[in-house]
Amino acid sequence: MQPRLHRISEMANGDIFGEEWLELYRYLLIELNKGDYNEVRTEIETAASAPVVEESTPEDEARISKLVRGEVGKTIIRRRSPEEVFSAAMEVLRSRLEELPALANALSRRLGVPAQRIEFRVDYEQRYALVQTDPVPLDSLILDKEEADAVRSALSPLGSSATR
Amino acid sequence: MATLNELKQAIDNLLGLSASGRLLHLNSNTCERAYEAYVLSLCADAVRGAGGSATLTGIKTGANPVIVVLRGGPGEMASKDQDFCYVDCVLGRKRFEIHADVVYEGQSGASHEIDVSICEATHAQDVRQSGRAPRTNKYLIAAVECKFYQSTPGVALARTFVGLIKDCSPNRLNAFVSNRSSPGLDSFLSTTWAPKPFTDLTALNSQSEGRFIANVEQVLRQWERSR
Repeated sequence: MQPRLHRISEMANGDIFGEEWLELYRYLLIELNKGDYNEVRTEIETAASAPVVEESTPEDEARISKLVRGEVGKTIIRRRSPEEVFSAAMEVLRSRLEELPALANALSRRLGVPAQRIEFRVDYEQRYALVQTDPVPLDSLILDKEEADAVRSALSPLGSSATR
Repeated sequence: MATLNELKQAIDNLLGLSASGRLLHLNSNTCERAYEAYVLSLCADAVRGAGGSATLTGIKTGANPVIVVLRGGPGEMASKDQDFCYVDCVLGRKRFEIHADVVYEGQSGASHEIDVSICEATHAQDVRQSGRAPRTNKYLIAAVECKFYQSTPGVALARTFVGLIKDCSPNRLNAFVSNRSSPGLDSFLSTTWAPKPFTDLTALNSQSEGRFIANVEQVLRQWERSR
């Protein structure tokens, strides 16, 4: 029921296990903290702490029907294993580093306007804001080929594209 | 075989890239708005695919502005604080506009932000002239909720969008668009009263892009033939 969740065995050769995945996860959070990537760190913590929702198998159903008289749901809600915690963190990073640049590129291409000429600006909130927000150019969301290759190759040992 | 230390080194390498730094410092709001604008561009492609024209138009400067300004947050359709862009479209006898992140007034009178909306041009012109909010009435052709998930999606947002749809006149298309799916979200959106789902819609998945464009195209063609 978690088709997107990367199995760690597919991710990084499975040489580490159990508590080591949690150590790696904590290491990632610490490094994000050092870089002041606070919003991404929060996103990761939210993703990693979300429970896994799974649908039970026919075998499970048969077993449960022998245990209970009334009807119960087919869903199993459980907490993430250490490897799933790290995997959830990598999903967040992959969204930012692979999906976002791809969609920004597609936006520019489909509108037929160079990314340098597209920007995001806020509306009237700006008038009352203590700190004025600069326009965000679409360009800042796009990676050139060299950057994209570097990101892809840096993500590779961490298994980010395992299910892609 | 990767050891713990090798994986820590891989994290250091990844976070040490200047490109990673740039993208990881963006706020989530920017990611959301970029996704909405991307969906707007898919809708513009659908108009062209149906044989119509779709012209980027600035509210202050008119057709094909030098700088295309997209909304970095929800706002008023009539706002002229910035040269916000919409897509001015013509398909056969029909003229309509595609907007991103505009606040509509629901049938109940409550305000609703619609991520990507398609509305009749006459209504949008009335809105710009009067400075009032557009309404979720018969002039609203399509309402699209967009969500750029960075992890496994839940059903909360889709549930909220169902409430919004109930506050609209029957539209031609109510769609829930997201870059990811989850079994829970798919189950929720498979019910008859749910918006049409387009999950897993990303620029990395041309099949899902094609399906969304084809659906919008079909809705617009049918609407164009009506009346």
